[in-house]
Amino acid sequence: MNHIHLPAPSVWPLTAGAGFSLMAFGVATSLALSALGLILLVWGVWQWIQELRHA
Amino acid sequence: MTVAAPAIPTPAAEQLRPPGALRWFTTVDHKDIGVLYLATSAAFMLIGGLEALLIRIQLAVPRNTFLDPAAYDAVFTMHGTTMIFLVVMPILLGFANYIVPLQIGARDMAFPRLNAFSYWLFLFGGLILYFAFLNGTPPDTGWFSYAPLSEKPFSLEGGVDYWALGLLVTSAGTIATGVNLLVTGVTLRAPGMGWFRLPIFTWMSLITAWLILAAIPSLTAAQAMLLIDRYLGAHFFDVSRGGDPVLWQHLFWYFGHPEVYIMALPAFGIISEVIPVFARKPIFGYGVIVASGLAIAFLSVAVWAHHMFTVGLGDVANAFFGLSSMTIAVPTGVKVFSWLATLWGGRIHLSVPMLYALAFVLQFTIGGLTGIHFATVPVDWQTHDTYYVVGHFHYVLGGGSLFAILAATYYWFPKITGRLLDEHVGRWIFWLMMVGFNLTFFPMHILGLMGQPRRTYTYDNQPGWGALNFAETIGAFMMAVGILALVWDVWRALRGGTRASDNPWNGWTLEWATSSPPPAYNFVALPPIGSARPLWDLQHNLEAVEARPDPTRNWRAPIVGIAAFIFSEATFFGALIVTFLEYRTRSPGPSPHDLDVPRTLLFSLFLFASSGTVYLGEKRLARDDQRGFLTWWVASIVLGAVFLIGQVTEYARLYADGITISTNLFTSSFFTLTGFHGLHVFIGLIALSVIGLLGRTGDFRAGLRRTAVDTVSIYWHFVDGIWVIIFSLVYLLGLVS
Repeated sequence: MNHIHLPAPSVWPLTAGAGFSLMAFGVATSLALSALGLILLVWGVWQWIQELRHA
Repeated sequence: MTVAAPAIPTPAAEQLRPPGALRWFTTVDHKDIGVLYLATSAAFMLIGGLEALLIRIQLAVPRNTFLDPAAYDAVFTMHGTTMIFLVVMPILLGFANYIVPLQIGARDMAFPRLNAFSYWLFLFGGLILYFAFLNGTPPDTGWFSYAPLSEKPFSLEGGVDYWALGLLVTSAGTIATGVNLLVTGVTLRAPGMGWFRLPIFTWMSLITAWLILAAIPSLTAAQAMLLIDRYLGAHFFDVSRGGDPVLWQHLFWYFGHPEVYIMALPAFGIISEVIPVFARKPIFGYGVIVASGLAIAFLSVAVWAHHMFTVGLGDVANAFFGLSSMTIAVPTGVKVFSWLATLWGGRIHLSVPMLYALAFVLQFTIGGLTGIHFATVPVDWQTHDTYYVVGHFHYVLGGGSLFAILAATYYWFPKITGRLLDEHVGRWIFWLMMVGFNLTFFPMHILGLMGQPRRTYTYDNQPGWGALNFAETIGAFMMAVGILALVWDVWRALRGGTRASDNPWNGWTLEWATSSPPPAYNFVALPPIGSARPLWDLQHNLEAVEARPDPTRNWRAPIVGIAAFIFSEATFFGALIVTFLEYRTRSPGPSPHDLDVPRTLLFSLFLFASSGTVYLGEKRLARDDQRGFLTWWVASIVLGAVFLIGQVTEYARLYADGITISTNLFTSSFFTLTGFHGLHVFIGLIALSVIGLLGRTGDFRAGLRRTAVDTVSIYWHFVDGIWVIIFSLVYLLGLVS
């Protein structure tokens, strides 16, 4: 054996989560924050997909 | 007994945990994420508990001025919101995160990264909520945020916005966790672990996951409507323009009552694990407990209006919801009898987890019995806005769920940390909690029957009220001392407590078959699973430990996941559709007759056709015809985009005619329903485009990663399918009515 598959640690769920949350936070504070959140979300999800492709 | 020595697996180097704090920011290990949930929820519990103490100080004596009315409203709103959304529910999800994969013999949750994403949404949602508190504009409309109080004219500051946005974020995370738990239970069970060999905690967690998907989107829809009212000038709950605040109550309690069971069912699971282990007997009526859990979940979405008997729903509705609420007591009572029957004749060990479990049975039963009183409509009318209700639900969620959480803390702490909590200190803490809890909440029943109103910042010096309230405040401080002592004991144990063995309680479920704490890969080997108690079987019957068959990537997981997600989406759209049907002809002005049906039908045909082209693309992919796949896939994207262009131009035409979201109830509900569908189409187009891009680079050649294509296809078919319903109800119904 005995090499088992475990998912590698990843910062992209945190990035995507921060982006999604910032989008919501920006609604009550500043739409610029929402825009930044959207960028973070897209970036995080894209990198997440890349990780899945190479897992 | 002969034991085959299994080889110890080793994770690949790149899969090892990063050192230091970075581990916690990048972890996708279900155990780490479980710990993060538990630690974060514990921190929120200290804050929510402090808010409870502020409430009790204010109410300790009549006509107190410790808090002014505004501060009291903010504190009691934040206490309720915190305890429900940031403490009880996430702590139970934290235990589920940690324990369920272990109990089913899996290496992790089905979607580890999604699991981490869920946690971060929970944390950030909580921070958004508390930002409002720190910003000086705390939510102050109650955890239920009833309209019209939560509407702009009555709540001008941002507290309601932060409340809704924060909970939207945490709810998204909770829904993702619900999907993940459900998929994990369905697809990652170890070989031999059939449905009726699942530990009851896992069963209850899976039922809870289903309930999360069935209930929480209703709150999400309601909060979206509230925000659209506040930011875009719609009128969903605006009484002055015909909006219906009772609709808010329906949507809120359609979520709110199942939420009680989202917090109770995992607690039932915990108690069903603890009592058999400490009575040294198998659970009595395993099948009945599981069936009653399912019955509770299904019934719980049909009882919501018992929170609304004082609204004036009419006799028929009152009778229906009264009867359905009484019915749900039956499966709940069945569980209590099962626990009692398990205790009967058992060799009972009164360790700390068992003490909490026994207290749970007593206190939850009291809470359940007073709950039946509220199913009796005339009794509800008399007691609805009194402290009788406060006493009742704290017996359910405090004496019930919180005590189950404390039982779970003592029961699973050794597994999670490899250390034991101090049994002697634990008994002191238990009695502080037990006496403190009952001293705090039992008098509330008496005060409620005496007429003390809830949700008010002070009270008159009526005979007996001051003394009972003062006693409640003493009880609250006793609980606070108990919780602080528990925090200290946890800290002490983590720093150097007695080391725990792998199975300190002699438990029978699979989490006890690995080390304490478990390694990253969870198990070296699993025992054969022939019942719901594999370790019992191992001790009594079986002679060999089999090497654990490592789970292969199960193609069904994303498919089950997207199906579960679509189920939650259906609830969300269901709430919007019901609202539209209620509002479509209620107010004067624009109505469905102002819609251009033939034009929208034309654009709809493009959307419906895109489902066909997606299907044809999949067919080509199955034959490994990459060019054909990409051709049909691009066609699908174009067809979907044409539909979206049609929707945008329809909106532009309506706005040019002066028909906007704030015109009347029809337009509010029309733009919201079709707008959210358009948003789903847009997200679907992005998903289709990503698949198309990956397809171009050859990602799906030779059957590789077909599940990704299938998952996006299913989502796209759902987006098309829901439009059939929306188009029929919004456009065609307008033609015939």
